[in-house]
Amino acid sequence: MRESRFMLLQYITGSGILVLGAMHFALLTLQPGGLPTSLQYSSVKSVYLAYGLLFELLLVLLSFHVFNGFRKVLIELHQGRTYEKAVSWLMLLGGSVTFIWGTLTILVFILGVTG
Amino acid sequence: MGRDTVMEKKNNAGIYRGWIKFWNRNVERWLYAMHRITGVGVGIYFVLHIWETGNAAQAFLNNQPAQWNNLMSSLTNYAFHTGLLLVAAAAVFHSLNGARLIMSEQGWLIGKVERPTYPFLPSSLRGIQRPLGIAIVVLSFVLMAFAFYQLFVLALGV
Repeated sequence: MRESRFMLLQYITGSGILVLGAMHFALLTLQPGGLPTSLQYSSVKSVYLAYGLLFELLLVLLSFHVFNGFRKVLIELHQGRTYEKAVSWLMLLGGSVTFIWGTLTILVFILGVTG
Repeated sequence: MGRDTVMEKKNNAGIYRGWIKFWNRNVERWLYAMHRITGVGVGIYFVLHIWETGNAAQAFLNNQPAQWNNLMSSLTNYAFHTGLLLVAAAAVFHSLNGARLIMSEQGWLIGKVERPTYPFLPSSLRGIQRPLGIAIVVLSFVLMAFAFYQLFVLALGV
């Protein structure tokens, strides 16, 4: 994929994270009692049942945005083609592992709530 | 020298002069450096957050509220909440400045092209992007104060 496409995707995922991230923070802080209340066992249960899909979408966007961001920063060092390819593959691996790990975590939460 | 040749050239400025040494430059260069620093910081936190949440989720799988409460208690301390406060500030700044960068890239916040006159300030820096950049820093501090209230006043009872 061309670098301009990667950058376009970086902007699109960034915009999505801005909206979903704000919702994530709002869920944590804007309910009565604030952060301590929202981190109680019963509150987390109800939030995950209602917003599990939102967290999964946020995870997809973040996995791409974060690891593509790392890739852009490291590639700017311009240490040659082999270095750039190695960085790209490493970041793809890192992003994939993080995404799978996060998805399993969300599933564990939901299965724990419903199981 | 062709464009491809330039792209292949090694970054001789290196990490220190190329990325870190920004204090003798203009506001935009400061914002660029802070965007990088906060981006890397929040990115590392994201990976740690997935790991931490993955451990916490076990309490749900076992349906053990006591296990969850113990974990939350162990994470409720000054050191951890100071770290969370820095992450919140970095996330807010990175998000808002990212929105500014997207708009600047479209040319919406950039000053119009003009004939260069003394003191030769680039016309591209005369748009609203510089005041907006400063407003973003101020707004980040305001939202950081809200995060302080949540993390220290409500959670730790300071």
